[in-house]
Order: sequence, then C-alpha cells, then structure tokens
Amino acid sequence: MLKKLFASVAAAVMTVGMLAGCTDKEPASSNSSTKSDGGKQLVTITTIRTLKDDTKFRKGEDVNNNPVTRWAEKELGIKFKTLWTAPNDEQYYNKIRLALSSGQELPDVFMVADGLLINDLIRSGKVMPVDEAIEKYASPRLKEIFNKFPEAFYPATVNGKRYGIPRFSGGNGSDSLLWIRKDWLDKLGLQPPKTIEDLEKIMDAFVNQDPDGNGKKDTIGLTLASKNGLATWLADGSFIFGAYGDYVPGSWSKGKDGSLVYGSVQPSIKKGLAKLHEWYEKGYLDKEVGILDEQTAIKSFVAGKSGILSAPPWAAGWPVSDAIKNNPGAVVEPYPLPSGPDGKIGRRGEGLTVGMFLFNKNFKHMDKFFEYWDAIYSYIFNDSKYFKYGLFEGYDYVMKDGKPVYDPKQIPGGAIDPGKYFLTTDIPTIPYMLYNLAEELYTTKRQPKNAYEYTKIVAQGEPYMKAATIVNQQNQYRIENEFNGPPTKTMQKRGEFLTKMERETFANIIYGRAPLDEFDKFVKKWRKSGGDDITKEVNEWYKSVKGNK
Amino acid sequence: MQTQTHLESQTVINKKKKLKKNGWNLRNTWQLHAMLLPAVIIVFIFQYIPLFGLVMAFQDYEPWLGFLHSPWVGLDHFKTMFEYEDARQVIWNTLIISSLKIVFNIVVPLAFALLLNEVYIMKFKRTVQTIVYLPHFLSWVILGGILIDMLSPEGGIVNRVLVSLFNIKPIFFLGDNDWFRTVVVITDVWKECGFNTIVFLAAITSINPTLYEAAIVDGANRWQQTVYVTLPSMLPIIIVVGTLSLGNILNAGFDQILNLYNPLVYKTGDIIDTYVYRVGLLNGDFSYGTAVGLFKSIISFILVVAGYRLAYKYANYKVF
Repeated sequence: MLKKLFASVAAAVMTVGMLAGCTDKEPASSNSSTKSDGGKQLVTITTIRTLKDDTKFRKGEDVNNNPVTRWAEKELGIKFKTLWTAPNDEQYYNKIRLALSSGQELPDVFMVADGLLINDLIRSGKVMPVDEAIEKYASPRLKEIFNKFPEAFYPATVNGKRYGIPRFSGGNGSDSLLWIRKDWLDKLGLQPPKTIEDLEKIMDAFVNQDPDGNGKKDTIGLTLASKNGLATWLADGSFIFGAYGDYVPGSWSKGKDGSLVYGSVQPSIKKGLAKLHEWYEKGYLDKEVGILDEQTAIKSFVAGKSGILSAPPWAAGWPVSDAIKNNPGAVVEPYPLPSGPDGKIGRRGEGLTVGMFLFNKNFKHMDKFFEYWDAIYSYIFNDSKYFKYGLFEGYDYVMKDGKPVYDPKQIPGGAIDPGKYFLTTDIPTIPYMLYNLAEELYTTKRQPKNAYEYTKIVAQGEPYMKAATIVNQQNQYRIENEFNGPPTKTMQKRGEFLTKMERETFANIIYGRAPLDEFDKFVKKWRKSGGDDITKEVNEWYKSVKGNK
Repeated sequence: MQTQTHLESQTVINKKKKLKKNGWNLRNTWQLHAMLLPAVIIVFIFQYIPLFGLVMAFQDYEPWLGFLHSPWVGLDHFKTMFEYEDARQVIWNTLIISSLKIVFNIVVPLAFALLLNEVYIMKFKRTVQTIVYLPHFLSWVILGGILIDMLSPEGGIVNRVLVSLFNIKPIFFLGDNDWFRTVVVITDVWKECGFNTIVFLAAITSINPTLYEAAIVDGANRWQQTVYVTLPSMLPIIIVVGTLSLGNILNAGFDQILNLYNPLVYKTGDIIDTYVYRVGLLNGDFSYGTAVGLFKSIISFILVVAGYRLAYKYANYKVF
C-alpha cells in the first residue's frame, strides 16, 4: 500500500513538473513573417520589458495593443509581441537569468542594464553580434550618433565585437548643480556662492543666523546623502571632491598616465573628506548624514530645515517643489557648482547609457529593427513623417483649429505619454540633447516646436530650464565613470569587502571617529585586498574595448 | 499460498487489524491523503527541488552553463570564507545578535505572560494581549522607517525624552556601534514578544488548577505559587520554544538589519544574511553567496539536533 502511495505521489509530482515544463516551451522567438490584410509582409518581433507604474494605458489598451504597436504594424509592418513584463528591474533580471540557466529561447530583442547579466548573456553565445547589422542597416544619422559615442557600446563589447545597441541616457541628465534657498540668502544679505569658501560662509549663516526665523538653532547648511556613497544621483556630494581634484568617489577615471584609476583612493579625496569632517563638526551637515540615503536625505530640505541641496535639474519637480509647497515664502533657485581653492570644479557625470539592447542570435530582421529605430529617433530629430506635432494625437497632444495643443487639460482623458510604449520604454534620447534643447529654449525664448519640446522641457517650468542650462554650461567639469563594463573577477570576489571598507572609513572620518590619516591606511588596505588586481583588470578591459573603434 | 497454515494466516489477519488500528488503512483514509497531496507536492517543488541549487557552493557557477556544466571548485568558497576577516566578523556579529534575541525573546514574554496572568480584569488583559501582539504584523520596511525617525538624534521622540529627562547629549542610536546591537535586540523583542506571550499564556491556563489548590492549602502565597507551580509546569513549553528558536541562531533578522543598518555600524551590525545579500545578489558572486548560506544552514541544523537531544536528555521532552 505504501509503495502504491509513493508511486502515485511520484506520478503526480511528475505530472505537475511536466505541466510546468510545458508552459516554458512556448515559442519565445517566432521570427515568423505572416501576410497582413493589405498583402504587406508583416514581421513579428518578440520582446520583453519592465512595465513600471509610470507607464499608463488608455482603457482597453495594453502593452501589446496601444498606439505604438498599431503604428508599427500599419506603417512599418512590424508586429511587436511582448512575451512578458515585470514590474521592476530586479524581477525582470531574475526572469531573464532563469530563462538563461534553464536554456529557454530568448526573445528577439530586449534591454538589459545590469553589466553582469549583459556579460553572461553574451558569453552564453545566445545573443548576436551587431557590428555587421549596424553597418548594413543603420541609417546614416544613427551611425553618426553611434560613432559619436563609441564608449556607449562598451558595456556590450566582448573581444572587440559589439553585441548590443545602447539605450542612451540624457548624457548629463542626472548631473547635479546647487539648489539654494534664495529667500534665506536674501534675508541674511548673502550673495550666491562662487567658491567653496563662499559656500562655507553661506552654510555658516544658514546654521547660526536662524534663516527660518523660528528662534531655534535647528537648520543645517547642506543636504547630503552618504549611505550609498558620496557621489550619487540626488543630494550628491561629488562637487566637494571635484573642487579639490579630478576624481570623485566610486568612479573610475583617467589618471595622469592615461590608464584608469579608482577615484576613492586618490589623494584629493582626502581633502574632500577633511572638509566634510569640518562641516560636520560645525553643524553644516545633517547629524545623521551617515545613515541617510538619497530619499531620506532630502527630508531636511523638503521640511525647510536645510538651505542647500545638490541635485540634478529634474529636482525642480521633485523634491524642490515639495520644499516650496511645504514652506510658505520659500524661494529655491538653481546655481552653478562652486570652485575649490585652485579654481577647480568637478561633478559626478552620469553614464551615457541606461542599458543595452541585445538580440537573439536567431533574430533575422535587423533591417526591420533599424527601420523602427530610425523612425522613433526621427521624432527627436524633429523631421518625422509620423510625429510632426507629437507622438499620437489624443495621447500627448490634440489638434484644435489646425493647431497642436499640448495642455494636458485640453486632451480628452488627460495626457498620456505614449513614448513609454516604445521599446526604449521612453522617448529615445541622444546624450546631451535634452539639456542642449533646454538651453536653447531658455536662452532664445522660442516657442516649442513639438510635444517633446513642450512636455519634456517647457512644461517642466522655468526653474528646470534654468537649471538645465546651468548644468549644460558646466559640462566641461563632468567626471564620468569610464568603467562601464561587467564587474571583473576580483570585483566579484572582493568588491563587496572593498566597498564596505570604503563606506565605513569615509563615514568614520566624517564623524571624526577615525583620524583623517585613516584614509591612508584605507588606501593601502584597499590596494592590498584586491584593489590593485581590480585596477589591473579594469585597465585590461579598457584596452580590450578601446581597441574596437 | 495455499500451503499456509491456519495459524499463519491468522497472524496476518491480526497484523492487518493492528494496521487498521494505527490508521494505516488507505481504503478508508485515502481521501485525507489526497487532501494532503497538494501540500506535499508544493513542499517538494519549492523546498526540496531547489536544494539541488546548493551544488553551486562547490562550483564556479555561471548562469548560462547551469548546475550541470559549471566548473567544480570543491571547497574553495568555504576556504575563502574563513580567509577573509570580513566573513569572520559577520559570523561573530550574527551569533551575538541572535543569541541575545533568543534569550530575550524567551525571558521577556515569559515575564510578561506571568504578569498578565495575574491581571483579573479580563477586558484589560485581552486588550493588552492584542496590543502587544500587533507589531508582529508590521513589516520591517515600515517599522524601519518609523524607527529611523523615532531614534533620530535630531528631534527623534526617544532622544527628546532622554534629553529632557536626563539632560544628556542626544544619542545617535542607529549610527553608533555601541548602541546598534542593543537597538536591534530591543526592537525585535518589542515586535515579536506578543507571539511568545500568547504561547506562554496558553501554557499557564492549561496548568491543572488542583496544583494551585494544593499549594494554597500548604500556605503558598502568589509568588511561591508562581515559582513552585507555574514555572515548573511551564518548563516543557519553554524548552520547546527555546529548542525551536535554536534553529534560528544564525538568523539574526535579515529584514530588520537591512532596513536599519548603515556604513557607520557595519562593524557590529552586519550579519551573515546581509553579507550574503550584498555578495551574492548585489555583487553577482552566486557561488560564494550560496557557500556562506549553506555554511549557515549546516550550523543551524547541528544546533537544532543538539538542542533537541539536550531537551530530551535533561527535560525528557520530545518535540517530534
């Protein structure tokens, strides 16, 4: 009897297992061409993507049925099929990893930002090199952008071959500048800072002269986040280090001999840390600065307890507008980054890519892909035959009396950004283009020509445009992380320990729990515990990708 | 078969009867087993099949090669673990934090249950019981945010009270290596003590009242009743709770630490789970992360077995 029971359990388990197996075997890559009604060749391209909260659909539409898929089918003869979606990057990568290790077929085209996963996918031999396809099918203007930013291909370059098409970032989109409480400056009779020294005077006044007038000494000078490193995307402290040298913590940049060196272990960082410790002691920084991440750091600024925030232009929308809303009479203005004692300025520069598009090695329609790519890029080149005033009427604009109207209130059902439906999960970008446009619109005061210029720039308001202009004019001070490849062998083994040691040492120095000279010990230990090996590996990688174009 | 003697077949029948008594007759109980089947299958699929992934700990795992083709490295990852001081540090931290948690998660609920048992107003007792149990249902993500605010040295409510009462300098609870473990243990006990309190209260109510009556006849007061009747009667359940929690000795509370720790307290606050999370998931060193996790499981397993044996030997109590 027992045997029978066991057998039936085993049988049941096997059936369930088989069922589970079956669902996996759904054809992922179909590559099929079917005839559409009009007799035109219809090419199916399968994909997968994240579907985050900011992607909204009109009623009855979804990721496989929306203006973009309909447009692609009608105009380009491409039927996009999204096999699955994930609500966030973590789940998205997990699903791809699972598919990879269980040997499932990959979709035709998909975007990956995780350097390690890109590398795993390439080394698995399941994705296709794209050099030939770019040569053959990419339009001249796409080639021109690709050639202009060769380093954007590095994350997916292995053995001199390019395996992916970059999804560009805004270039300098998340580079920071200073947002300062102008009302506090005015109240205390101060001028905006030109140098770090000016900044110190301002912070001192903000801390000691009761700028919010509540009779309590409860204000701080500068809002910083340090839990995830001192050079980051919001409440960024990189400018302090940039004022003393050419390096920012956490970034690999060119050393004197042209090879890549790690920013955090350069001597100039010590000067920045010394300043931060001094500022902490004087009460310019949040007492909790060591445990604050980007989201928690900004609380002091939003609450009107901090006078200065180092943040990108988009902070105009959040969190700066919250600070203005919460504190009646608050005026927050963007200012350029101050310079150090030798006139140096430097800031953490955002990377050029937010991800790479990889292609299944069996994908046969690269021509169609590039046709689509050029078509969606034509929108920001402003010469599209499809998107003259905006992407899709009724979504990001409406026509009234023969003129485009971008005001979301005039669009029935409210404005929806159909750019999110593109493969790029947003309106495609070219590095630096957005802030170049913003600068042009801000300085010339010309009218926006299409929905893109209106919604992405003009509608964001004057402070945003001013901030974008300032960031754009300080582009020469960008210190970009030039290592954008997969983590190296030693990084995987020791990176965690090294990062932990770095964060711990920096925090202890800022808090005065360790003397400043602890930094030198840290550098020695860093080099000994794998840092030297990592530097070697990073430079080997750099040479290998640079050899290619 | 036909040559079997009457006696022999008789014993077979007797055996069958015995089986019936023991509830092994599937003819009558197969429905119950069928109902159990889904659970068994789910446990098998989600608890046992993934165990094969443990081979990663002995391989240099590459996702596209899978478990079958990744190169074997033997015990290399385990050696690495003891080579580096950071791994030793987290093991040490884990042991300290979890031992403190285990002790206080028994002592505090026990004391609380005894006190609550003395309360005669039923409404009050029930209300307190529920309130104490409530934090158990909150996640550490939420509590983490609340605690960071409450314990803030700049206007956090705890520091405000301390400063006004004792006139001291505000304490940076979450950023101070001397305080971090204390905070972790206290907040964990606060969150979880309600559960054990209920277990202990239930144990108290199941104590035979005649024991108390006899004690009263002997002239025992409330305190003596507690020491000589209540506590000895509760010993088995205390041992059960203690034994079960031994298995968690290397689980110092991943959710909690992850939401509360920061670079300032890595020295005292970083535990095995957060370490595995950073190494394995954030750094992509799957094999090493698995090795550390496996090491943790083996230690926990040994401790559970040891605790079980000890409980049997000294308290004559069997959990299973």
